[in-house]
Amino acid sequence: MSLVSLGDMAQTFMLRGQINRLKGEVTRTTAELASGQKLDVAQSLNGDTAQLSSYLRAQALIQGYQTAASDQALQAEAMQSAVETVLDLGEGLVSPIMTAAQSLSTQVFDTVARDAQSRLTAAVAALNVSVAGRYPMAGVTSGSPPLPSGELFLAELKTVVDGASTPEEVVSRLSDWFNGSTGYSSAAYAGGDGAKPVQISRTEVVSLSVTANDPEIRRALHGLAVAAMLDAPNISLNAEQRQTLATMAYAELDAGNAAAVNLGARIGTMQQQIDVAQSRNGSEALVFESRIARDIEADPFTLATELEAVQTNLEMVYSITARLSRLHLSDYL
Amino acid sequence: MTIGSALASALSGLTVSARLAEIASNNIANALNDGFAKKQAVVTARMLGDQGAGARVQGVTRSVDELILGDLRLATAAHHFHQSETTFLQGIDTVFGTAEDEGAISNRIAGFEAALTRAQSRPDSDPRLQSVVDAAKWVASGLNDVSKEIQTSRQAAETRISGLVSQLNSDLQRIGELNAKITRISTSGRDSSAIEDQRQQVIDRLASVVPLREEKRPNGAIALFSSGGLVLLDGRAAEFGFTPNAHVMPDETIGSGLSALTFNGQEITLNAQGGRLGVGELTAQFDLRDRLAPQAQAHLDGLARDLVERLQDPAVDPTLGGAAGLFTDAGTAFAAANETGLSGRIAVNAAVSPEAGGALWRLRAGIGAASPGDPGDATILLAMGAKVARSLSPASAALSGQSGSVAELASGLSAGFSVSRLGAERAQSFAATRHETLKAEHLENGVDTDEEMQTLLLIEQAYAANARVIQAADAMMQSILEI
Repeated sequence: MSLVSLGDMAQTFMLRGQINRLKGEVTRTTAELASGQKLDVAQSLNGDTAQLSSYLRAQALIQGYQTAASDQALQAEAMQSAVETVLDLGEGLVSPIMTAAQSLSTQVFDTVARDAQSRLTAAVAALNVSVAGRYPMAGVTSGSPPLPSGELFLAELKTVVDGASTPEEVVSRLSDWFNGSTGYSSAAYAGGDGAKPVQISRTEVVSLSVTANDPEIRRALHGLAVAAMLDAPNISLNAEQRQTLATMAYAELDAGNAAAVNLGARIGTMQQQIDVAQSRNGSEALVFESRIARDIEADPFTLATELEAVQTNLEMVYSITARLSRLHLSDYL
Repeated sequence: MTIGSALASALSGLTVSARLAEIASNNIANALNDGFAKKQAVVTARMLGDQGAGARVQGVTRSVDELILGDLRLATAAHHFHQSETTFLQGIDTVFGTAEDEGAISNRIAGFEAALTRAQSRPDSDPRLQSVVDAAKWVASGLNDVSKEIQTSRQAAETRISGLVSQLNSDLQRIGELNAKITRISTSGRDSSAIEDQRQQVIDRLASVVPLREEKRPNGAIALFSSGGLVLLDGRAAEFGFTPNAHVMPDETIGSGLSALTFNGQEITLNAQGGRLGVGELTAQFDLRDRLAPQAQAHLDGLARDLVERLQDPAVDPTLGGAAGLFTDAGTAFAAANETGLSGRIAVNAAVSPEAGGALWRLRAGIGAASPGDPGDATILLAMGAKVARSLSPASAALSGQSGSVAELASGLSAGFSVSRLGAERAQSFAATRHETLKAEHLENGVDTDEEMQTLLLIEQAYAANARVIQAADAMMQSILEI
């Protein structure tokens, strides 16, 4: 530094640099205040943004899981309502079939048989229900109904027991048809495999793979079917034989109802699982939101203080600049 | 002493005062001129034999602190170096996106994963399949954009290098010419300080391109050396050569498509730590073109490759039969040899895009499927989601040693870009501060109008005194003549 003189421009240069720097600070502070977010998040995290990225990803995925969870909840509800309908129909047949098992009257047998047939048709219709354009009990081929119409189903059953001469033969033919690989599973059930497991939260996977081909459904329909064949025109049974058939039908109906209850409980468990997942999603979403906010959000109180300080600073530099510009020897000559 | 010699001395005093006033007014006029060195006159006694006979201006010196000027030039070069690198890294960081940006690559990938989750739950729903395709296109276009930014910067560096080299050559020639002029003027005894000002300005302009050192040579000439030791100008100006490439491709490097810098016909290698040409803007642009941009491109291509390969896996989609999966290399299947530039070519397979003649059910049934298949079958969608989320080691050499899901690899890349950018910004702010400080010190040696005002006061007095002496001598001569 020279002892005799100090260049004019040096002062201007320094002051100008200061003013620019302070103006930059003001811009940054006001932008952060206005948007509520830090301008340079990476700098505040020192470049370590991997965790923030994973929070944001979790947040996006949780939203996806919530949609999936509500889908599965609807699906489970539809399945549960179909199974409940089948169960109700089956349970309603218990006392008529008991009456038929203790009677020898053709009229009773015919009435009970017609009752069973209408219940079977209703059960098939319940399984063929469609919700929002797809068939919940049809598995992956959700675009078309899983079973034929009730009438066709009954007709198919009548051809199965065609020409049977003893109640045992009727029951065993129906049993083979419902349980074998060439009967119900291939001839009547037109749906596909059960749906694959779906992720409904970060940790929960639900497999609503219930279809109309499940053993429980087959058992329940089987239970109704035997009773429905009490008045089948193509089997020749006398009254005692029909009574026996009714007794055996009662046993099958009982087993069928029990199976439907089991299936209902299974679906109920899954519904609970979905519920838990949905509330977990909700609370996790809040947690991640707060973690993200902690990293991204700018504290308005700190910013306001900073802005005050920078403004004061800037005003001081402005007044110094003004004063110094008035200090010239030429003014005093 | 005779009266005549008194008169002569007074006249010389007037001349000196006039000359000093001229210098002072020149200084004041150039008070706002950045590249102007304050002039000071050297006044000595005029001798006639052994006797003093007045004063004369022996010469004009330029008030320049050589040390500070030298440091300032090096600081300017460093400042421009860091400025160039920071601008590039900021550009990449912005386009790739930092974690909180909605359009950041890592968030686009998360969006794609979320869309897949929704489609897995309702594989029969066309809107959900469409949103998967849209999310995939959003990812691909993001990668395309970053690749384009890198390529544009690289091309800009190539163009800038060409401009800088021709500026370097022409400036060195000019300095050589000014050297010759100054030598001619000073050996003939005249004042060369104005030309020296011009020369200083040209050298200062050059200093941002190449960090240089100035050495004095006899008769006012100077020699220039780069901070790495190259002789830029010593009597003769050096010649730099460079052949620009009008369209730089991602896979072109020095020697295979791109030209290196030649110094007097010889190729020289530059490196960002210093090397022969030091740390200035020219080195920065070469570093950008040959190291930073290709590195960024390689990382990006590695990420793109990982994404393409994960979904080109027959275990995920058995219907592929060797053809491209959901993401393609400009429409065809990806082959490992074509990794460079993949991020600029990655696109969503037209087979799943209805507006490109494809069908949405291919997302569910498989790219190579002939028919829509079971509407509720989420097998392939589930396999895609699982593969994208699985922690794997990418096949690309650029990402070796890393492993994670695609989203994790992308966020690792983003963090890497952020860290590079922050490092560059820190280095740049340090260089800027140093440059500012040295510049302020340099400017302190500039014109001080207060000092010039004071000098003018003295000059006025001296001029008045000399004029008074002439008056007195004239009066004396008159009185003698009146005898």
